[in-house]
Amino acid sequence: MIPLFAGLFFLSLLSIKTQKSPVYEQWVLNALSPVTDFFSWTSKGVRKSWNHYFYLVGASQERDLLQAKLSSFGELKAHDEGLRLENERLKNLLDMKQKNFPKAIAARVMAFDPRSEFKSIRIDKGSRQGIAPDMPVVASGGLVGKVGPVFKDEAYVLLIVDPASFVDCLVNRSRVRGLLAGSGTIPNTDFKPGFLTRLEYLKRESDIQAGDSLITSGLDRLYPKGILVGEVQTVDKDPLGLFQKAKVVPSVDFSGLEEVLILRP
Amino acid sequence: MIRTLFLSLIYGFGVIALQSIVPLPGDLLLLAVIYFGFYEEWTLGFSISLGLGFLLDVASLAPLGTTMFAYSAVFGLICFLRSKILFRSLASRFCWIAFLTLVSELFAWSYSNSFSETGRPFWAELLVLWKKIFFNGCVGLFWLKALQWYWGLTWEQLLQPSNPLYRKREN
Repeated sequence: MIPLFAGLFFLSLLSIKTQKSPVYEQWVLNALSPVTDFFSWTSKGVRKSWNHYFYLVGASQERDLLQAKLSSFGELKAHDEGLRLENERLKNLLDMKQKNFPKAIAARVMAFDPRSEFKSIRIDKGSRQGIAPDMPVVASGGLVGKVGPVFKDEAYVLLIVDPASFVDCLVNRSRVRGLLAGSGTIPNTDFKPGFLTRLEYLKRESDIQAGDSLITSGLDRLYPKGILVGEVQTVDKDPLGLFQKAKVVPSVDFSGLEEVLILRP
Repeated sequence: MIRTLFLSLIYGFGVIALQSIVPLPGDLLLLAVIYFGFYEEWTLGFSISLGLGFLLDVASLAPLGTTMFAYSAVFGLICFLRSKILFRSLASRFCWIAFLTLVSELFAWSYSNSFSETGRPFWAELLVLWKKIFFNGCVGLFWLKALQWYWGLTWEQLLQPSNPLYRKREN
């Protein structure tokens, strides 16, 4: 009985809370701390390795998936940008159609002339859609050309920059008349290649200067009056000749042409 | 012969589609005509050259016959010259292809001008054509080799799958 009571007495002494921790506790804790640290470091290491290596086998696949998704988003964004630009162009074309040419037929450009010397395009509308030869063709920028040979569902359009093309024009500012002829792709004054046209049969005394805009006169009975054609780049006044000539930059960017309007009478 | 015609048809359509979509500065059909002029029999080569010219004339807004006339002139010139000139070295090959391109364009210009007067002299065309001449000269250096391989393809190579697993055992 005596050892039992002695034991209970010591236990009761241990359960009394003191401000100062006992020395043996400190010893035990001091001894335990490196072990705890070791286990803690090891478990952290294991967890870290698990999370960053073994677990990342899935993450690596996930990363590939995300990267694929990201690239597809990039493609989607580019596609969206293309659609936005197309939408803008079609909106401009539709505005133009509703305001000025309600009977016009819209067509998509299918191909350019495979022979680079001839400036023509092929469109996806033909005789079945009411297209006929010599109909004027415009784009949101201005005059494009006239319809050439027509097939059932396709037609050729002769561009105004083709050497075989002629348009009767007016200088918008001074109302001076001239004949606009295509030059194909000829280097301009800076020797940069680009589409150019030349305005001919301008009287010597005619008032024309660089920067003047040109519109169709309607006198050739082919193109309606008032369609924007281009801008005068340089004027060449021959001191002895009867006429002066001008180089004209078309208002339409033919290299990026995608949709056109065919004007029906 | 049928194989060559078949391959020519594929080549012709392919090149015309390519040139209609991508504005190439050169003429890959003319390089085929030059190939036929130098490396094939004249009867077959001449008929294929005419056929390729016809295809291009139909696909273009040029007066019908422009390219046929130009290609047949180039083909005739090659037949006349091929035993007399050196065509193996790169420099001579470049020069001859460039020269033949110039000849082709001169004939095409004279033919199309005889139908519709554009009022543009040939020297003005040269301002634009130098790019085509240079392109054809450069591309021709390796393109003719590629054409030699292309027209050397046999029916077996064309029709059998390239995977060796599906090939017939030779023995």
